[in-house]
Amino acid sequence: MFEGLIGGFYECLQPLNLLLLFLGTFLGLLVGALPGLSSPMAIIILLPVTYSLDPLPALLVMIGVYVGTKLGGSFAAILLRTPGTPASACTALDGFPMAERGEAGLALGYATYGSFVGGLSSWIIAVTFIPVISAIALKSSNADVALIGIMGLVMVSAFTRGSMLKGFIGVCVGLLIGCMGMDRVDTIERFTFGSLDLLTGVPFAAALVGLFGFAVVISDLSLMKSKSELVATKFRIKLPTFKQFFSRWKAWGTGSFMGAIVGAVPGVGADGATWLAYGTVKNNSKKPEEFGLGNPDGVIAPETANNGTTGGAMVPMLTLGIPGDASTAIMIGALYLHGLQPGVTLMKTGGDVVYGILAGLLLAGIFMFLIAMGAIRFFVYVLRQHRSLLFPFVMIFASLGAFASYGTIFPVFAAIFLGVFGFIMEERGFPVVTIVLGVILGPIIEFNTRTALMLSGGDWTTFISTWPRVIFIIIIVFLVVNEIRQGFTRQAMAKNLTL
Amino acid sequence: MRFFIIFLATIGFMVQSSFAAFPDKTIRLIVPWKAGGGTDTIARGFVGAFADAAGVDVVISNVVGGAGSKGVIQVQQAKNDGYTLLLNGTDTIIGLNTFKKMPFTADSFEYVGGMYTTPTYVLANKKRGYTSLMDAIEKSKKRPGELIAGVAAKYNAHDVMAHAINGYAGAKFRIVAFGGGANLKKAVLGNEIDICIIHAPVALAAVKEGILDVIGTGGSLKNITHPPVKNIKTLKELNIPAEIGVTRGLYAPKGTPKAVMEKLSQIMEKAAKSAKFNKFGNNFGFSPVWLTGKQFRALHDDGMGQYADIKAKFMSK
Repeated sequence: MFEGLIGGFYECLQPLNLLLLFLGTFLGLLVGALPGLSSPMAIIILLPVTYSLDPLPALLVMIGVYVGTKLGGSFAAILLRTPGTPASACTALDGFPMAERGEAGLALGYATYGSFVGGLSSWIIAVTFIPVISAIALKSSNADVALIGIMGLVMVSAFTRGSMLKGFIGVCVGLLIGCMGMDRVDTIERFTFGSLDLLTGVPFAAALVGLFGFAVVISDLSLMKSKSELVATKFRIKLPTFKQFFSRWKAWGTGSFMGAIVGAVPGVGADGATWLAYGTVKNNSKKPEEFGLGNPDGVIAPETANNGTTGGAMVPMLTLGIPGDASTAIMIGALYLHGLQPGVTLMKTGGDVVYGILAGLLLAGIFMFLIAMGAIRFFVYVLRQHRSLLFPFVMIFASLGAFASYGTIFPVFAAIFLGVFGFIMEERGFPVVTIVLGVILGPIIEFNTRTALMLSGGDWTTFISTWPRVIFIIIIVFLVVNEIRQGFTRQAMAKNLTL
Repeated sequence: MRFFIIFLATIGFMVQSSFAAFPDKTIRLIVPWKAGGGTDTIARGFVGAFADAAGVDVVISNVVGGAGSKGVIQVQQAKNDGYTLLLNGTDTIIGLNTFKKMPFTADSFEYVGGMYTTPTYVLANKKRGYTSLMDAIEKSKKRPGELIAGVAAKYNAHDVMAHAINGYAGAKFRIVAFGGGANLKKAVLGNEIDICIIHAPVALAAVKEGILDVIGTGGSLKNITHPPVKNIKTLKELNIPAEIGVTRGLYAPKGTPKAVMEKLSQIMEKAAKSAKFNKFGNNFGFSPVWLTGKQFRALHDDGMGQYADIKAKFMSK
C-alpha cells in the first residue's frame, strides 16, 4: 500500500503529469466559478482530448477538474450569491453576507482554507481506511441514506431566520418541485401535465440557477432601481491567517469528518454533506443566531465538507466501481475508454493508475489552494465591477449551464420561471434556500424510504435495525425536540418583552 | 422540352453528387442518457472508429430527459439528411412504447445498424450459494415473496425479465426497483439482495474475482470476454420463453434518403468491425457485432411482441 502510494506520487510528479494536473485544477476552478457549469460537464468535454494520453495523465486532468470545481463553485456563491455548483449552494448562506459587508477576501480565504483542509483530511482518512470506507459504501443501505436525508431536512431549522412557518412552507414547496415527474419507484407521472419535458421532473440545474442565479439578478435589479448599495464598494482584500482559520477547529473538523463519511455513501454526495455539516456546526454553536448573517464558520463547514467528499467518493469508485456522484460515474466510463476495467479487480490490474489517482487527488488539493489564494484578488476585482456589467454574464452562464444539463432549451425556461418564482417568494419572506433544500433532499428521502420499505417487506423496524440507524433516529428526535423547545422559549421571551 | 429535361438532369446530378459527397460535415450522434452511463460509454468507445470511417468529425450530444424519450424525439424531428443520428439501445423504444404513450413508434425511424449486443443476465452474490437460476427459483418458491430480485428500474428490460421469470417459471421473487444500475450493483455487491437482473457486462470484474456468480441469462453469452460464463443457460434453455437483452445501434430520422442510408450503413459496418472499436468492446466485456439495418429493426419488432406478451400475462395488474 505504502509502496504503491510512493509509486503513485513518483508518477504524478513527472513534469507532464504535474502540468496536466495543474491545468485540470485551474480549469476546474474556472468552470466551478461560472454559475451553472459543473464538474461533470467539464470532464465530459475534456474526455475526447484525453484519448491520446495514457490512462494516468488522462485521469489526472479529470481529478484536477473534479477537485477544482468544488472550490470554484463557492467563489460565485460568495461573490454573487449564485452558486457555481450544487455543492456550493450552502456556502452562499454566510459567504454572501460577508461579501456584502466588504469581507469578500476573508470569505474567499476561509473557503479556500476550508476546501484545502477538507480535501487533505478526507484524503488522509480515505487512504488510511480504504477498507473501512469501502465497507461504508457497500453496507450503507437505502434506510441509512433516507435517515441521513431526514437529518439534513430536520436541520432546515438552521436556515430559517424569522418565521418558522415560512421556512416550513418553503421546504414543502421544494419537496413539491422535487416530486414532479416520473417517480423512480413506480414510474407514475406526477404533476407532468402531459408534458414530456416534465417526465424527468424539474431539472436540478434549472432549479439551482433559477432559484439562486436568476432570482438574485432580478432581486438586485430591483435594488438598482432604488439606487441602494448592493454590496459594499470598499473591499478589504484581507485574507485570514492560518491561526484564525485553525482556531475554528469545530467547523473544519465537523466538515472534514462529515465530508469523508457522507462522500462514501453513494446517493448523498457533496450536495447533501454540505448542508449536514452546516446544520451540525450551527446547532452546536454558542451563537447560532449569527449564522446566515456572515459567520465564517458558516463558510468553513460546508466548504470542508464539500471537498471532504472527494476522498470518500473516490474510494468506492476505485475499489468497487461504484460511482459516488456524476463526476465519478464519468470517470468510470473514462477508465473503460482507456483500456482499464473499473471494479473490484482494478487494484490488481491497474494498481499503478489507482495509486496515481490517489496521489493526484492530494496534489490537486495543493494546486487548488495555491491557485485559489493567488486568484482571490482577481475575483474580488471582478466583483468590484458595476453590477450592470456582471448581470449579463451571470445570465448567460446560468442559461448555458441549464441548457447543457439536458441538451435542450426546456431547463432554461424552467430556470427563468423558477427565478421569477424564487424572487417573489424571497420578497414575501420565504427563504429560497429552504426551497432548494427541499428540491435536493426530497427525492433522496422519498426514493430511499420507499425502497427500504420494499426491501423489508413493509416492515418499518428496518429503520432501527442497526446501531447506526438507531443513532440517526436519536439525533433526529433530539433535533426536533430541541427545535420545539427553542420555539417555546423564543415565544415566551417575546411575550415577556411585550409585557 | 429540351430545356426542361436538361434542368431535371442537372437537378438530379446535383442531388446525386451531394449524396455521393456524404458525409462532408460534422455528424451529431444524440445519446438520450446522461454522460457516464452504459450507453454513453459505448457511444464514446464507438465514436472514434465511426469518425475514422466517416472521414468527418463526429460529436456526441447527451440529450437527457423524459426517461430517454427527449433525445429520441429530437432525432425523430431532426432534418433527415443523415447528419443527426440517434445512438441508443433497443430497449428504450421497445419499453417506452410498451408501457407509456409516446409520440414515436418503431416505425418513426430508419435503422442504420447495430454494433453492440449484450444480454440481460442474472447475478447473485457468492455468499447466497445459488448454484443456478433454477436453484434460486426453487428456493423462492419455498419462501414466497421473501427472496428479492433487484432490477434497475420499473418497466425496463430487467423488470420485464424478472416478471418473465416469476410468471413462466412460477418463481416467487419480490421484485424491487433500485432507481439505477449503480444502486443495484451496490446492492448485489453488498449482498443485500438475492438475485440481481441487469445488463451484462455490469459488475463483470466482481464475477471474475469470484465475488458474484452469473446464474442465468436472458440471451447467449457467447460473445462475452470471460470464458467461464459463456455457456450459462439462457432463459429459453430453462423453458422460460423469453429472450431479453439490448443491442446498441444507430437510428436516422424517417425519410432519410436511401443513398445516405446506404453510405451510413457502410461507414457503420467499417467502424463496428474496426480494430479500434473491437479493442474497446473486448475491454468493456463483449466482442462487438455487426447487424444490418434490417436485422436491427427486426430486434425491435421481436422485442415489442415479447414485451407486450409478458406485460399482458404478468404485469397487467
